[in-house]
Amino acid sequence: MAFNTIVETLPAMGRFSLRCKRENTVAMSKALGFELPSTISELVRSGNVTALKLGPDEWMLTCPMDERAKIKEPLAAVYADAVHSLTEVSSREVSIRVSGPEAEELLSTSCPRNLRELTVGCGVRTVFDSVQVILTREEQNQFRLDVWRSFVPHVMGLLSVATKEFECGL
Amino acid sequence: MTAKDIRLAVREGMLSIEHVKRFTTNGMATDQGKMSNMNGLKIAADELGRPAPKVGLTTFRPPYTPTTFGTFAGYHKDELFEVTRKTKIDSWAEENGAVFEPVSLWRRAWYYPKAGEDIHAAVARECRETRASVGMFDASTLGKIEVVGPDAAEFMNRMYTNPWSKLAPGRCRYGLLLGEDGFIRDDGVIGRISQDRFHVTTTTGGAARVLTMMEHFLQTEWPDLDVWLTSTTEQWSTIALNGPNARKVLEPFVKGTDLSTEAFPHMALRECTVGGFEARLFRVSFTGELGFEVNVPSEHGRALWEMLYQEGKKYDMCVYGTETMHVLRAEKGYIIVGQDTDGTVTPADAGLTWAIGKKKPDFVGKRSLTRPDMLLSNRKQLVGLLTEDPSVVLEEGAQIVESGDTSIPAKMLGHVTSSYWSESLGRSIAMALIEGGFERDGKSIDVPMPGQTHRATVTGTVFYDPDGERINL
Repeated sequence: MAFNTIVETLPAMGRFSLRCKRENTVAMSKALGFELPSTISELVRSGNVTALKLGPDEWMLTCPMDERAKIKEPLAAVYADAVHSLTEVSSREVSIRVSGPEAEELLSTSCPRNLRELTVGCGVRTVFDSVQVILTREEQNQFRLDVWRSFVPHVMGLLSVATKEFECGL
Repeated sequence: MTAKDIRLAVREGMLSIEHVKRFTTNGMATDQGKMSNMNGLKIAADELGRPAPKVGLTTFRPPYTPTTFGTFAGYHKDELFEVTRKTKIDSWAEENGAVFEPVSLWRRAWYYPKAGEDIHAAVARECRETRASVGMFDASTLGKIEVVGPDAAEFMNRMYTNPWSKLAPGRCRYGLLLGEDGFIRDDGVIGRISQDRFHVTTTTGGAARVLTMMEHFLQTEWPDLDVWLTSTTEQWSTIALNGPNARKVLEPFVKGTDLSTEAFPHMALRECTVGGFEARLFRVSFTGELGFEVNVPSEHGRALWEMLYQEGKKYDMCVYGTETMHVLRAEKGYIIVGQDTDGTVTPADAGLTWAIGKKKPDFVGKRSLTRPDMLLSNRKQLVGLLTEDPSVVLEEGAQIVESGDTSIPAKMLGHVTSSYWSESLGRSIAMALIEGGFERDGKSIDVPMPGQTHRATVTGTVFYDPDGERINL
């Protein structure tokens, strides 16, 4: 049986953890120039910047590495009036993309969530085997795993073993 | 258990299969009856002289069929047996012959033997070269937490024993973390990046635990504080340079700050670039030598390491591993939480009362520190030990008894927590937790070890450069 799902690591990208009080969310959105998502696990894209809401007061912002100032500067400018925490974690994580018709089944080998309920454009903090990851469904057959750097070999190793099983029809 | 035991159970009057099970434990534990239940039933039925269906079955629980160990193990074998975390510099260490040791989930370079060297020779050389010139160490596994918000200093005041309000941005301070019981939980150097931003470091093994503890207090005790915590352990690769020539190795790569001791004193930090990478540069020392710790975004760790390694050749720089780090810190009496402490050690027991902010209204563990038991003078206290025979390296964990006490069993006064050959002093050194240790200063104790009892003198814990002059070069 042909197996057509690709597992690949992505180039570095700008990543920031944004935390703030509920009443300052509006000011954050205004500074960034787009509406931050208000529902947990909702992903919003504005140009090259994405914002994923991970918790009641927590967002993960991403952008291309050379456009990090687009996030840093406007938020720094409003800090005095709308306190928050913006912490760069660009290098903390590496993203792994899993794309192809068997992507969902491949991920289900080590992720306990019901992935059918993860709809396109949503992301969640979950576990892959014993590793904490942010799992985003970018398209119906395309997922992204954001993994802390030192855990990447473990996650890639598991995906590689599972891929071999699929390839030989197990 | 054998078939004979089941027949005995029946003869003893266990007529129900449930009683046979409880009398013999047949069907309990690892196999959960999958292998033994039916066989046991047939034997019991035979002994009772009744057909098996009439004797009955014990209650079955899933899984109903035998389950292989392979099913439980899943993909967890060989390299995937469990997570092995490696730093960005680990690949360089492997290519350059490092011997590794596991530290929590991480594997860390333990020592770097050259041809013909065993661990003792390699560590002695790494210690000698670092103190004589300069040594480089991968400290990337240190836990890091970014504490940000207008209440950051207040939060730090409440979590750590030390005072933080007056620590100026651009400076750092040793931080001590207690549990609510007043015992030492973790420690690390903490830098104030700006008024509202702290760069906290934790022990390698304590990183996740400390973040969880901080989040617990923040969410359940002080939800009113405007402060947020982010794990940044893996955001940074951390390279430590220690030794009298550390500044010379580092200086050519640093842009945006002056490294002279006047402009950049011990326990200062600067944001600058090192080797073209954005960096947080700390002037700190875990060796007692002039020391720097360079933090760069972790993906650039190896590139910077190689640049510094090339430059270091001009000064006969060595690279060293965790064993040399342990020896060098022990020579200075710097503790390792979890080795020199065991969850029953207070700041006073460890000689760290200087790290307590006396004027602070409160911090985690403060109230426990004044309980009567915590103030007793015969608590186990951390002291240094110098063996009578300087060539004897005591065993870590060895028990300590009164000098000359040959009774069996002898009263145990404490134990050796750290023990090394000190190349710098040309003799062995040790640290130990001993009952009333501070009052025993200068007195002898005995350390019974296999084959021989060794006598040692109780001392302070700072064995090397007691005036701390080397740090201020």
